[in-house]
Order: sequence, then C-alpha cells, then structure tokens
Amino acid sequence: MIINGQDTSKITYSTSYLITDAKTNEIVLRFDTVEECNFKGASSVTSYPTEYGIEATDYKYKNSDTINARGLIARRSNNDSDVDLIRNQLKLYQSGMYAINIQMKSGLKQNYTLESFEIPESLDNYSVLEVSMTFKEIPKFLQQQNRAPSNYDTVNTGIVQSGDIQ
Amino acid sequence: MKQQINLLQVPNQTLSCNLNDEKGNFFTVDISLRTLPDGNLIAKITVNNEVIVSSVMCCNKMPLLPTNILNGNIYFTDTFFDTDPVYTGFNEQYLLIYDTEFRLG
Repeated sequence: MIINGQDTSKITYSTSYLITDAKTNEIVLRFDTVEECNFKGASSVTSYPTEYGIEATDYKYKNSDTINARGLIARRSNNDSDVDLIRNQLKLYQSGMYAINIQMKSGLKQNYTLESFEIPESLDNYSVLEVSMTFKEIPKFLQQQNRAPSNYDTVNTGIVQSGDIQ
Repeated sequence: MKQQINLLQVPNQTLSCNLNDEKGNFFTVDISLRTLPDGNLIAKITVNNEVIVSSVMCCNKMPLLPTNILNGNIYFTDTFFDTDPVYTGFNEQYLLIYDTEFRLG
C-alpha cells in the first residue's frame, strides 16, 4: 500500500521486535506487525505421593524459556512473494535446530528455536496472514572444564607400564 | 616386591597392564576406574579376561581383590597422609600398587 508516496510494504512497523538468525544476524521473519509477544520462564517441580495423603516435593528443574509471538502480514496484491517467503521460512526454521535471536521490548533473547507455528484462517483475518509462533530456548550448558569429574568421558589409556618401587 | 601401576590423572579411565609375581607367573590385568559424583573412586578389575571384582571402592591401603588370584593384591596407597585416593593425585600422592607379598587371611 502506498501512503504519502511511501510503499508501506517495505516498512517494518514493529521496530521493537526482530526475529533474526543467530549465526548470520539476518532477519528471518519479516512481519508487518508483531501483535503480541509473550515471554515465559518456567520450571517443573517433582513430587511423589506419600502415605499421609499429600504429595511431597523434592526437586525442581528449570525448563527452557518460551516465547509466544503472533505476527501479521497484510495480503496485498503486490506482496505475494513476502507472504510465501514467511511461509517457507517458517517451515525451514521449524524443521531443524536453527538458532534464532528475538529482540523484544524487554531485551534481546538469544538462542531460541522455532518449536511450532500455527496459521489460523478465519473470516476475521481474511486479508492478513496471521502466524502464531512458539520459540523455545536452547539452553547453553556448562563448559567442559566445569563438569563434575564423574561426568567426564572414560579415557582408555591402553597398556600401561608397571615398575618396581622400593 | 611392589610394583607401581601408572595412571593418568583423569577421573574415569580404563587400562591394561601385565603383572609378574615372584614365581614368574604372568597376569593380564584390566582395570577400570570411575569417579562417583560424591568423589569416591570405584574400580572394576579383570584378570586374564575374567572379571574378579566388578565394583569395589578404592580406600587407602585396602586390597581391591577379594582373592589371591594374583599371588598378591592391588591397592592404592597415600604416600603423604591417610586419605582415600582422588584422581588429581594419581602417581604422586596416590599410587596404585601391586604387592606380591600381600596375602589375604
């Protein structure tokens, strides 16, 4: 759409939200607007039933952070290629472990992967392509030198020498 | 006669060594050492392709083998104090010894 002589299809409305490839820093999903973007951090608490009729909790472990985003791109006569590009990019990034950075209002969230996406089609969004996406954090584990000794790989030292001692 | 078996200073390792007793008998000994999350060291020992002990905790100057199959025994010894072996002190503070004069009861 041309507004005041400017092609609005080339404008990224939601400058607060950027979905970029973690390696190349190129924008991978370019929407007209990101209507909502929710960050969720969660953990799981393990529990087991006891003979007292209540559940005892004994441990908690962190789950990967999740970001739910909903992006919109208007279907115009001149942006079929942009809509197809988003569809293809969604399929590509959902099919493998591609790392994605997401710039939100609350900051840059690094190392996420597209877990799932949904394209609902209804009368309400007839003229737009609406995409609901779920990104999941790829946790960075501790470096090798910080591992517990028990977790180190077993080293096969082969045949070793034995020598007399006093 | 005491022989020292050389180790690497790594937490988990497997090794093979050839041991001779005083009578000239020859043993092929495979030793697997593993460090547990609590820091304790356990060993699995195979003599002539026969598993003699599958999991024994390594303590200072305590024999690792329950039998006299080697005409002696294998044990760790702390050369400075009286502590149980830790992989960071292998070959220096903690020596793995094959002692041909050691006999079980």
